[in-house]
Amino acid sequence: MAAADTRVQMVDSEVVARVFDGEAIIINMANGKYYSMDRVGTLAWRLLTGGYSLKDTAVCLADRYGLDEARVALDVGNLADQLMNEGLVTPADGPSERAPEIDLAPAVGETYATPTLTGYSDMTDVLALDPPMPEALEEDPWPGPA
Amino acid sequence: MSDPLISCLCVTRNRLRLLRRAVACFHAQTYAERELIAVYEADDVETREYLRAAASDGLRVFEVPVDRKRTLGELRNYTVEVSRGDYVCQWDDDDWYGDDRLAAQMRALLESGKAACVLSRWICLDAVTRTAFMARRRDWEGSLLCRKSALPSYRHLARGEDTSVVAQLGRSRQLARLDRPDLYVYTFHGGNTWDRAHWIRVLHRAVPLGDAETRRVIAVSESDQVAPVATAPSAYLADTRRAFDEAIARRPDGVRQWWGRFAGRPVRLRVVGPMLAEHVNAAFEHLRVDEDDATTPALTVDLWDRAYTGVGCPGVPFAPDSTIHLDDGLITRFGGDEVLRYEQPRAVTCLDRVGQILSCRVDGDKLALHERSKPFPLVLAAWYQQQEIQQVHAGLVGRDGHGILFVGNSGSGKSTCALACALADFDFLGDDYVGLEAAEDGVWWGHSYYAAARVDAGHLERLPALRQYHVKSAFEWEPKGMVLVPRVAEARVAARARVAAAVMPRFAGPGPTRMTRASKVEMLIALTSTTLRLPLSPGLPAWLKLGDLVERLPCYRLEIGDDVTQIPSLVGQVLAEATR
Repeated sequence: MAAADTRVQMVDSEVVARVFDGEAIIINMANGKYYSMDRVGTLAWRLLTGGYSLKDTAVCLADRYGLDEARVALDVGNLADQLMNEGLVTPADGPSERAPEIDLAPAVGETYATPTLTGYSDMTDVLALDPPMPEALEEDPWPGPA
Repeated sequence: MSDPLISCLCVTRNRLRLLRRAVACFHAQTYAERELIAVYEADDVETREYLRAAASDGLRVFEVPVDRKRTLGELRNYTVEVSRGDYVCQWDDDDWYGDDRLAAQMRALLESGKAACVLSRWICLDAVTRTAFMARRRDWEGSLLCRKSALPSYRHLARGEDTSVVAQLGRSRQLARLDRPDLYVYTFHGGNTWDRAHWIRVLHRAVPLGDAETRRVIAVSESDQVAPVATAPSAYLADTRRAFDEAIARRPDGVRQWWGRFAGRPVRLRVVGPMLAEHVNAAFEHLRVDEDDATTPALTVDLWDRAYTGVGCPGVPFAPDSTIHLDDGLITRFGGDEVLRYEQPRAVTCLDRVGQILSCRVDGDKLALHERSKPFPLVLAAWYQQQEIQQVHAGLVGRDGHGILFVGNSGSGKSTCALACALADFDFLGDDYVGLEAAEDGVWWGHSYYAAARVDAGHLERLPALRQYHVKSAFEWEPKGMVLVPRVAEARVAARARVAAAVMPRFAGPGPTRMTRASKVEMLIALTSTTLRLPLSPGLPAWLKLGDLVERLPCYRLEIGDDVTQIPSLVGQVLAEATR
């Protein structure tokens, strides 16, 4: 499991994510797989990709739902591992600014559930992007006439 | 001890100019102990004449009868059978080879102690666009040189027959790789066995060569004359247009013309063949308008009946950019998406970029219901796509200009919901395919494509009012019938509606019919998983657009119980809530 002070970043060049009414849908354009996340998972996703470390994310969620931080930290760690394994995030290059627009106010009536990432692979052939063409070759690969 | 004999194996057909080049490359080889085996089919007269004149000890020629169509794999196996060499080398008729290809590959093979050698890179030349590339590193099958005793048999395939051969040699660690891309120019010339879509895969991770290097590749490989002359867009369908004009000239009394508004755009339809015209008119009658003939149409639809006119549909005499098999037909694209053509056993339909659909039906008296209810759906959807209208797999009904989308897989109840609502004071816009258009003010419009619904025994049992309007198919293989909704006394149809909400129906078994809120994520997945599977769907861009739509809509789940007559009132409540 990744260390508690790990920060991650979304793989911008290959991942598209949208949040609808607190639920996320994420597409990995490299392979066409897509994922849905419930409300807790979406909040964790927004925190993790918004510059919060694994530990800070767990603290925020534990505060929001009135839970033991250790239990939430385990769930966040598992989720981060899953996101990295699926190629949706990578360890962040360095310290990053926290996203300001994440609402961390305690939720009324909302209950905690283990954040879940559900994957789908029924549209890989229509969602995966073709790889981009590389830059032109500089060296001459074609030996010309002497 | 003399060098071992290499048999260069060439299967050729209708490519005389390229074949001459391939033979010249063979004769120029520095490796002395070689023979060229050229195999062609008996109906290829031009090739026969050339090869018989060119035949020698070094060039052995074999003719294969055309009593049956042989695959490329079979023909390759035949070349191996008739070869005399201890080693064989694939010698494709459309590529260029450096003078020391045989010598270099043979040396690499012998030094490695393995049974075969391939090039790990080669030059790719698009002779049509005059662009050249360095291919990525891979075991390039076309470059295979192999000890004959170790060569696996080619699979009986029309394409890709050599891939498994090279893969097998690789798995058994008998493959030496030589990095000499200058020895092989792999050429796309527009008349290849495979099409531009395959070429694009070949170019995956290839690196473009600069202008000077590309010119040198073209000059050295003598590739400047191998591609067809660039074509004006109008040329692709010129023969097809002439056929339509001929159909009119032969049967002027059978021409029917009218106008419609498709997603608000003026469309002129002309049909040669009264019965064909009657069926096409019925499918679009709700979109019919009185229009001044001087109006500039956004789309012209010209159809003719082959049986009625005696005029068939010609082919397109140019190499396609891509070829896709779909159901019982073939979709081909020409001129970088200038023309889309869908050829099926009983119909050919073409769309060009300037907004013309040309279509020939084998017999207008014998149309299947799927053709009558929804004429040329794929090509029409492509035209709508050009207008930035996204076809979705959904039903749509409306009231007072506001609409409800029914979303779900086939059999989920979309048609039942749409028809139940149509019988209860809603406007019918479609039961399974409609178009969605985003207006500048953020409103999403749903457009009706067709006025007909496909119905089965279940629909007629649940909605008995439709029984008297049911049109049964004349074909046993077509279990579903049809209802032309404009002909249903209790029903109304509309051309468009503002989309106000989306509903996912599901047959829930015995019990009441209930409507509950659904998540937008669930709705987006339901909408895209069927819509993006439609032929020619734009994929990710369509997904993003549909995400914009779903974000704006309240979403619901409809559990359909025993009584489908409850559906309209529940849908009405959703609509009232959404438009409050």
